Amino acid sequence: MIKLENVILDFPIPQKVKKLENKKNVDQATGGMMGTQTDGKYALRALDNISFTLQPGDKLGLIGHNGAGKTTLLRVMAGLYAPTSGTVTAEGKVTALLNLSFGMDPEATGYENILLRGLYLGMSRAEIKSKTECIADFSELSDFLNLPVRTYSAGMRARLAFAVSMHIDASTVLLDEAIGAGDAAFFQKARQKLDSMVSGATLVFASHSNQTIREICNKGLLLEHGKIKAFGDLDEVLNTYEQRTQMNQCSIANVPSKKGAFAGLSGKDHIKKVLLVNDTGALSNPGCKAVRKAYKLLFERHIHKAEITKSIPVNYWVEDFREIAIPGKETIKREADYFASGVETTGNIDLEKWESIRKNLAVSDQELQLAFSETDLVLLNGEGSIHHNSVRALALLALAKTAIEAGKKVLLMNATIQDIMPDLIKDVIARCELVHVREAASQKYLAQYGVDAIVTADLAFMALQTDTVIKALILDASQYVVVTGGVLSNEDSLNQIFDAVQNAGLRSVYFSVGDGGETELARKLCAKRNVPMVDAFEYAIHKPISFLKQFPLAISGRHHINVFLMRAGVPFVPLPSNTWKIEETLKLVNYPIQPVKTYAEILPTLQEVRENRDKLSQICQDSYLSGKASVDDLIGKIESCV
Amino acid sequence: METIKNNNIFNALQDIYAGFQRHELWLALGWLDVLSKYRRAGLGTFWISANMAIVSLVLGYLYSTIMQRPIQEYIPYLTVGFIVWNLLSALITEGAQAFVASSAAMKEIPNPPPVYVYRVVWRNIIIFSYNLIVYVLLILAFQINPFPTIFLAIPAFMLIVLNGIWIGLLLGLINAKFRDMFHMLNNIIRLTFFVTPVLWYPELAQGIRGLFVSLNPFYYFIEILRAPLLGSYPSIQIWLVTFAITLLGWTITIPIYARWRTKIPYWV
Repeated sequence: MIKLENVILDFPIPQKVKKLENKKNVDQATGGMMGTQTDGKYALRALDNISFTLQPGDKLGLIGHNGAGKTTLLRVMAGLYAPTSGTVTAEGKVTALLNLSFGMDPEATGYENILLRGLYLGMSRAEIKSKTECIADFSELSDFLNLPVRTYSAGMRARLAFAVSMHIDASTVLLDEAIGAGDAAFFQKARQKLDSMVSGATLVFASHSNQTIREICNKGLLLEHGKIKAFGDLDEVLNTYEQRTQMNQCSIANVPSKKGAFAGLSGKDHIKKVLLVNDTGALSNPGCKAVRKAYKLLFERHIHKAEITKSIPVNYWVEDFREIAIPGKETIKREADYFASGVETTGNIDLEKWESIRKNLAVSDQELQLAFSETDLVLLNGEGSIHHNSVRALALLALAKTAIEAGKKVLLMNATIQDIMPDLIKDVIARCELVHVREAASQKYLAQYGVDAIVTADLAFMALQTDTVIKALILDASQYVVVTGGVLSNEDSLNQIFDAVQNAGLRSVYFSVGDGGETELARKLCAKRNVPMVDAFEYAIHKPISFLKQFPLAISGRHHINVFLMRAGVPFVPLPSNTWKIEETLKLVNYPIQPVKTYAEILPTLQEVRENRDKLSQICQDSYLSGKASVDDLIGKIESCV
Repeated sequence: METIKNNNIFNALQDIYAGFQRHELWLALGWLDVLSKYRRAGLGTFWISANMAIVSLVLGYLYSTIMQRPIQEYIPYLTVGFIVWNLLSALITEGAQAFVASSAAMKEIPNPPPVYVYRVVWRNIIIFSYNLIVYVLLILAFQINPFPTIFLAIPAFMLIVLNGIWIGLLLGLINAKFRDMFHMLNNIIRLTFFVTPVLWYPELAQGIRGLFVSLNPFYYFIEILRAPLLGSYPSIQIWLVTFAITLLGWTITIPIYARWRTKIPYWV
């Protein structure tokens, strides 16, 4: 167990640095916070009020940009740096592997270096002697161990160092970007060793590679300027990190861009700066990427009067509304032999409380105020969150109201709006400059409360037009069905799908878009059932359409994957969702197969789709084109509104 | 349970002791320091002895005529004095670098900082031992009988080592923060060599110049080891002064080390 309580760490700064004129630049460049200590000396605050506890078995991934304080935090935990204030308490032995090449003498032989590094790491001679053979085996260096280390390649050195480090009996292991050296096979072996080594121990791993962190860790800690920005479930923390990263990129890579020439003609002031408030959960999800791209296309290519210059995630506001929101599980209906789906209506929420939480956040969120002050328009991506009075819906609507009160024009786009308190609709949605929904059902729903909404297909239809579709065969896919479960999928439903595919005489390939718990569930199940799994994260599929196109058939529980499949011309069996988006979108673009409701329907529907494959493939493409055409109409409407 | 944050004297002493307990590490590091310098050389570490032999013969031959002393008396006197001087000066200049030179390790692995002081001291004990080979050859060649006084060399040597440790802790710590220290020390040591009776005899400094001998701590530490190695007894005054310096040194070092030891990793 390792416990940090209110750890603050200031680095003293030499005299000369004091005279830096632009303090802000230093903040940005270093990632730390420059400030004055109580005794009047300048210091760089590398860690600011860090508190957390790790239990045995916890594998924590430290996430953050260069200079965010990851290595410093590891050093504090290792006992290398004593904190300026606060305490670090560790039970058992703490071992830090911060730098694999450390503690090696190039002139000494491999064996001598095993001894030296072992001693450095706190082993006794006797202990090292008893482990030497094991270490030598693990390093796979055999006879090379009798040669001086200077004759080794960098990879061999890393292997040797890693081999020694991996043979320490410690209850807490701190790793800094250590693994990844050496060849792939060794890397794999190192990971396995790491897994077994830390199964009962605590691991803290700092890395820039989200992928490696995903593979090794189960918890995450996001550091920014030496402060904890997020701590807890790894997926959530990584999501927050990705959103923050995107936010920074968006705000840095802004202004003139393609519109330079235009700006010159009509004066720069005429270009309205747009703040994108993004509600999508997983930014690496190909569907969310497509929607982001659509916004970019809309505002950068088609609408000459506006440009997205900043983007902020909704995530920060979500937690505060948790206490009054309808819990996610109450919005989902599960019955035996049926796929999960959404409930029709959920209960009421306390709107007074909502308003008071919103006001508090509006006053305290300086980042948001800054974002408002830098932009003219607020674009709300309402994708998939404004339903069932969920926590995300409450947060998003609160942000919208705050923007309206700040005097901003708010465009609510790509939304699915379903089962929201009528008062919220009148109070917030009705006051938006433009409401754009993806389903006729949402439009009809809003009309009850006097809100006029524009309806088109999902904006993702627009973003796929530039994605070159090539048939890229990576395996003989003719006997495969690509399967993707939606957010509602559970072990039972996936098993039923795999069974149905098997009964049809075909094989499944699981395509995961890496959303929340779905990946973990699918990974386990696929391993058990020997189904190949492709993770959009892991393999960084930049062109999901090309990937999907190689399969003759698909079963999809994801709205955006449906869009991709249409574009790729791959007929699919749709699964239901908890909102209108899937059913209604299919209706909107005239895709003839409706989502299967029960498990029993999977097999016959799959066979039906299979028999009509060629015809359906053509229909897919027509559906895609009709969806895209409806979205293209949107350009003029936004333009007039801006 | 271990809490990483303390500034009191007890913890400093614990640190010094814990460092000592890591003897397997610092013994290996000290050896490696010596070894790596002479690796791939045919004579290996015996170059240390060879260097000393050449210096002692050449300087001894020349200066014995300048000092007007018989060569069989002057060469052993010069050589032993020079060996001890080398040990003392290295303990000071290298001791000041103890933490700075090990900065990579200090930022890497949480070993108690005194480990790196022991490493410096041990390294110089090894070099000293190689130099003693020259000493043994000389007493055989010039038929000097160091018995029984040679046994006094053992406590004398221990005293020097004990001083080497506090010097390393204190100067190492100061030099980690103020790097000018090392350069200043180098200059002082170079000058001190000429005002310390190594090449010359203490009784030659007459009158007020005698202060160079009597107020010079180096004189006492050289004499305490040189005398017994050459068959004479160091005076009681020499014992008292060296004891007093040892005591004083540790008394100053411990509170200073206790106060700032946790800052060392930040400074190096």
